[in-house]
Amino acid sequence: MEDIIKIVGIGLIALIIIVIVKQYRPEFVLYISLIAGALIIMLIMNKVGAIIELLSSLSSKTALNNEFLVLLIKITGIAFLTEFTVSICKDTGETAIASKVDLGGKVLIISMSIPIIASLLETIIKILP
Amino acid sequence: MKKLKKIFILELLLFFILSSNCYATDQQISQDEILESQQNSLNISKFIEEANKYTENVFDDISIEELFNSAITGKIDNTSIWKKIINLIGKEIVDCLNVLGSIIIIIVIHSILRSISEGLENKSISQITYYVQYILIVTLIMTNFSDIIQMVRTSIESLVGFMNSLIPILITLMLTTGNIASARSIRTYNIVHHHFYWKFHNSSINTIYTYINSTWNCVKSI
Repeated sequence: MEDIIKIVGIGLIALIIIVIVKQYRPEFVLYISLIAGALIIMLIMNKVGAIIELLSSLSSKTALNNEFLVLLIKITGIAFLTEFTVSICKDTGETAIASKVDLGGKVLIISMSIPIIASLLETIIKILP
Repeated sequence: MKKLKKIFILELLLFFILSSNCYATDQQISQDEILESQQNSLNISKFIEEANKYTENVFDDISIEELFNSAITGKIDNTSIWKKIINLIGKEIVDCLNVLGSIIIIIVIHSILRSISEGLENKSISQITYYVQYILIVTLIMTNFSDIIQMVRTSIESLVGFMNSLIPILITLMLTTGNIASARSIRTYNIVHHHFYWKFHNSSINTIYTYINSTWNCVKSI
């Protein structure tokens, strides 16, 4: 219960500061939103670590290879960071940079998932006579 | 009427001309010697060797030779065979349940990751991560599926080989014991035809099904 109050509090305070500062120094808006986002992520880092531990303990009970799970978590992290940067860029009006970061994130995700696709193709070829 | 009489008289003549003489002896021949001489004349030992090749992975402690000898002398022990079969079925079911459990756990992991990555505003990135996880699940299911297909293929091959080595001996024995009608009813042409058809269309499930059907008919007609 306390954690959600902290997150909501940081968000609202950052919003109020941005609305006030926008009239005098519009260039500081970027820094304030960046810092607010970083604070919120740091707050939920513990919980995310617990979830990842749960996932890895689940996956160790099955025949699932652990490195596939690590790969999946990395891909999720890449997606999240890309989304963060894209939304901040769009907020300040730089949609060109946002789309480039978006493209870079997608290419990185696909390049990280190449071993998974390769193992799928290998398995399919094993079935065919 | 005339034709029938002619056939009857001809048959009587053949019966008297072509009959062979039989004598009884005083010599004491034991049952084992009789069995051995029968086995050597009909090449049964070769069949037993070939049959052992197909069944050595499955039935470890039951040898075909023991089974054969006990079947000849009339004491068939069905209970141990039934126990072996039920053990095999139980083992396969337990393995299947293990695989099922692991698939369920993998799907739970996937749903957790998806719920995290779906909260992003960008539709395309969340779609990409979803599809990567989906490909992983499909890969895992495919490996299990390919294991099953491999197992089915090897078992069908060994079934075919076993039946192929069984049929000549079976027909020979049937002929020597006098059941000519049963031997004819096995329809050897049907089986040989299906065997060649199966070799040419190796991957078609339809032919495998028809082959299994024909071998089942053969087994039923015994």
